[in-house]
Amino acid sequence: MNMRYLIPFILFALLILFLWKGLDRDPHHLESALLNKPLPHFVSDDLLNPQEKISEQSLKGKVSLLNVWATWCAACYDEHEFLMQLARQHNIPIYGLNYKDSPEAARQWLHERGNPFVGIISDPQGTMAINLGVYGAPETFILDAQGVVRFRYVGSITSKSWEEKMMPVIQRWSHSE
Amino acid sequence: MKHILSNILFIFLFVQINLVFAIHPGSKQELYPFDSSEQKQLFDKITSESRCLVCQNETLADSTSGLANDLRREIYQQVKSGSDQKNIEQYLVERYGQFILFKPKWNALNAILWVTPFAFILIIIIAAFYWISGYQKKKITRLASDVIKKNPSTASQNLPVWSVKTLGNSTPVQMRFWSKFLLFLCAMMMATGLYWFLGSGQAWLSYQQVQKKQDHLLAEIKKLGGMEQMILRLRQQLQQKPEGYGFYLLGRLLLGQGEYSDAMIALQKATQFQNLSPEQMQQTQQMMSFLQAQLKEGTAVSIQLPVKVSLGVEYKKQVKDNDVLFVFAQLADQGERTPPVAVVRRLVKDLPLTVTLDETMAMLPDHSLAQAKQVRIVARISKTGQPQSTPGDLWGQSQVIDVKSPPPSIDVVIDRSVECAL
Repeated sequence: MNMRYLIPFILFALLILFLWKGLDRDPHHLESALLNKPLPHFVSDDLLNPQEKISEQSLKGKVSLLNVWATWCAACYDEHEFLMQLARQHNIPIYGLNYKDSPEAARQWLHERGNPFVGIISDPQGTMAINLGVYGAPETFILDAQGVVRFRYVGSITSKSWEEKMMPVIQRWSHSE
Repeated sequence: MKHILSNILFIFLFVQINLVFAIHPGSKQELYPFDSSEQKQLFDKITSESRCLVCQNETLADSTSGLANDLRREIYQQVKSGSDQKNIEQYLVERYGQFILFKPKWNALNAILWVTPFAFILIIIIAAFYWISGYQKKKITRLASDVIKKNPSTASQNLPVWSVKTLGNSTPVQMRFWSKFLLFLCAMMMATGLYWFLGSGQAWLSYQQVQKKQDHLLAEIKKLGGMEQMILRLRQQLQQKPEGYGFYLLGRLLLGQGEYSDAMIALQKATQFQNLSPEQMQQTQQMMSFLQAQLKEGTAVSIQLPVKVSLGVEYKKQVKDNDVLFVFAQLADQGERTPPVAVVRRLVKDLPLTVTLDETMAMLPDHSLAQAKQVRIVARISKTGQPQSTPGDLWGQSQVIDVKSPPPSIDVVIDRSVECAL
């Protein structure tokens, strides 16, 4: 059989492959531009202890999570419960980034609902968030022990996405600590 | 049940058609004064060529989202401090990736993107050309070898492809050429036809028609001076010349406006005329049973949620007295996916206000506060007067409220603006 008759089939298969992949892609889930890059330099007041500073150095030493949240974000309400559970059950430090929020409202929120964070970056203007490429809340970054961004999750974390998407990344980078 | 639901939803949507077009909150340019017109041009160029990551089909210049606002501010500061387009774009790409640029940069990866369509077209043209002329080539070779046999002095075996005409008596070859060309054309037409009948060709056409009709309707309503004017006119007309279909329409319109008792009267009148179609009759019955449930007097109201609505100080300047305010309860786990379980309509001039939501304020039967477990109270100032959120609307929401044991008072502060069109 002449090989050139195979060409259209190969092209067709390629096209189908591309379209098939396209079906699963959600344009609202963007890959972080910071992926595999270190966290940009910053110094911020800690939301709960304003006299203390948080910088990118604070997030080094251990695989950690950085969760972007706000009291005005409806999905953060759902996620908060899961973060509380994480903080109780897992040994992974969770940092918070309070995004374009009023610090008083944020403190009140944590007071009422509990605080899953070991430290919270206060970012009322959203400038730090721009440097991280944040485009909505909630977003969660996984940082390795060197403070390099290894994964970004957009939206409210559920136990399913935690198990399937985030755990493997955390395990991988915990081993190479 | 599903029928009623979609029906009433339709009425609701139909009646609340956007009457006044979205007003952009202020002019962005005034917010960003520049020293020179070059800087202003640069700012406009960059913001109109960058994508808003939140409302992905809008540019940073157009979007009302908070992120777009922050990025505009950032770009403004950079332009002011003398940065150029290349640096600012690099700044954006470093943070948000190539996706933020509406016009992808020319690099190895994007080159594939740019080149593939043209490459494909070229391949198709070459393939079609080759295919159409392929037979001819064989024929020519045969004819040529015939010629060579007859006249061995012609040494060349490789006669040019298009020399067929010079060989004379080319009719069969030409016919083959045209038949192949026609076949190619037929295949194209068949593909178009198949798409038309099996694909979404017709759906697309009817969508266009509906869109056209809707635009026409909008223009008509606007010409008449808004929905309320339209109802008034219809009423006057019906007074002079009572007519079944007119009352039926009036009932629908009033129902959508939330004037239930008037709607009931109109529909009752409509049924007295015998000229409604069976379908209209059925719809009238459905609406009446819905209205009956709404108007049932003496039903003990068991659920009452008192809501205090106020407007954030920073937004006071952005609203007008006659802007429409909706206060509604939505199922906490459903959000905007289902219609509210209770809704009231007020005007901005009533703010700050206290309203009491109860189970009679539902939009759909069996979808009221009485059936709800957890709700969130939302207050939205609609610039367009319609209940769907539009960019530029202002809103605020309460925390999740347990309907069976509500807190003594529910506060809703309108303190944020709607970012994306749905």
